[in-house]
Amino acid sequence: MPESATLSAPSATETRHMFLNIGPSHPAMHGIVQLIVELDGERVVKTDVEIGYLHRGFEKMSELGPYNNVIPYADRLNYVSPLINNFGYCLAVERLLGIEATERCQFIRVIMSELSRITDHLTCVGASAMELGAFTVFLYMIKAREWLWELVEAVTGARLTVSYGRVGGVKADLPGHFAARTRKALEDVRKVLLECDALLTRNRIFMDRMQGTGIISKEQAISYGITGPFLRGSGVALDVRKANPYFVYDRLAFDVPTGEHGDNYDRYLVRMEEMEQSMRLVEQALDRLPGGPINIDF
Amino acid sequence: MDQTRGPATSLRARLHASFPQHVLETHAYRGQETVLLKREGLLEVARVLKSDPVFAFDFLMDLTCVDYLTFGRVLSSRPSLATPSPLPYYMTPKPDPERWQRGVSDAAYRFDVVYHFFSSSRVHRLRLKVPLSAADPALDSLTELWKSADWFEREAWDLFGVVFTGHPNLRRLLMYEGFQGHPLRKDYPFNKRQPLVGPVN
Repeated sequence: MPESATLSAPSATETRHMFLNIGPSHPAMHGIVQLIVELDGERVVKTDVEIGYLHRGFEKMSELGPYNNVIPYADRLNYVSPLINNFGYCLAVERLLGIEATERCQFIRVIMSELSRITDHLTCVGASAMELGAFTVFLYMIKAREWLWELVEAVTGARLTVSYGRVGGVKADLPGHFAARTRKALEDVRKVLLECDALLTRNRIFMDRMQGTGIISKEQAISYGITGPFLRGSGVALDVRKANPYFVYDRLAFDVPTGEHGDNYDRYLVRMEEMEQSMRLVEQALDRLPGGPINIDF
Repeated sequence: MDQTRGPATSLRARLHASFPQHVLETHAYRGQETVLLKREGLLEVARVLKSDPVFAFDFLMDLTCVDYLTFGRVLSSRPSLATPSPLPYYMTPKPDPERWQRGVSDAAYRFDVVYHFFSSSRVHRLRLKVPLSAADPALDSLTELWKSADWFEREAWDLFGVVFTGHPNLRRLLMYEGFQGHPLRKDYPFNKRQPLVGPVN
């Protein structure tokens, strides 16, 4: 028993840690993860995580076919922003082949990646607000995500299992009026974000639940190899789009927001700001979208 | 793509110069630097990679394993009836004579454990490979240096059966307890079925 547990209890009382099994069949775990939690009262002392429920062996299946057959598997690694996984895989194969996608393709990839990033952050912030009881925010954000997924559907023909990336290009060019539709959708998403910002950011209940919880220090985050908004929430200004620019990120202007305390609240703020930065990137890319082919010949 | 070649080349050479007794081979491909290392030197080299300001690798971005059991032979999901071959279909030699050379023999060293390091301060990357034999696929754990090694090594043990000595908790990560074998080894059939064992607790 840890020292803190014995010190906090009256000397005559015997205290024992309680083990609680959360998931995989639990309303908040959705059948995909199991937490075996050791509790001291209401404080979590230790957690054992079982993550294998969502492991579907894609890497083994990928051994069976030629490299182009992996693209649909890449979709299914993240069902909220599959386009980013698509392009990531295509980029890796392109580097190995020593080819580079066309300029128009690179811009399209940036636009679609950033739209996906916004849908991803909307889901994350919306769902975490929902778990705290702010169901309104969840519905608002899912509504905004729907507008963006409609754009994704117009481009790729699917909402989730897009398989839009191709080695050396993309499946299809942007549809007509895409730029105008996207600008309209981003305008609507901005309004939703303002509403959600008003509902959450200075909300006493939300702040109490988010500030000072789930703290990960800068050093811990680096040692655990954490990347993305999670790392930036801990105050490390590292963004692979700046550090090792790919596509045309080095030619577009965007800021890298960072947190200070590494708690849930800072990660929330970082995600909210990143959505704005992603919209900036999409708008710039739409302005400068060049003509030309979307696939290379080789 | 090749803008990192300048400093990274000296990085690779520097590691070779500091540890000539441990480094088997180094090469660069598409601007990415790779160092092949004997397993005896892994922990010593890793400590230097983390603490030496020239390297300053604060991130262990990825740790994985490669099984070279069938490397260089065509792997196909089904045999081709059109071109009968005296060898089994999965042993047909790859036609490309200019295929990449690994640096050690596949027969003696079946596995490569692959480490990807990244330095956030110097913004450079390095790939470290440690060849292991099929008879004794074991090497030192890096959990004392990078926390991310904990789950990565559990994953490599789970899926490839590589043993990391010194790991505090080397259990399966993705497959369940009671699963037989290591599914990402090339001799594990992709369609093999196993009974699902209920949770232990």
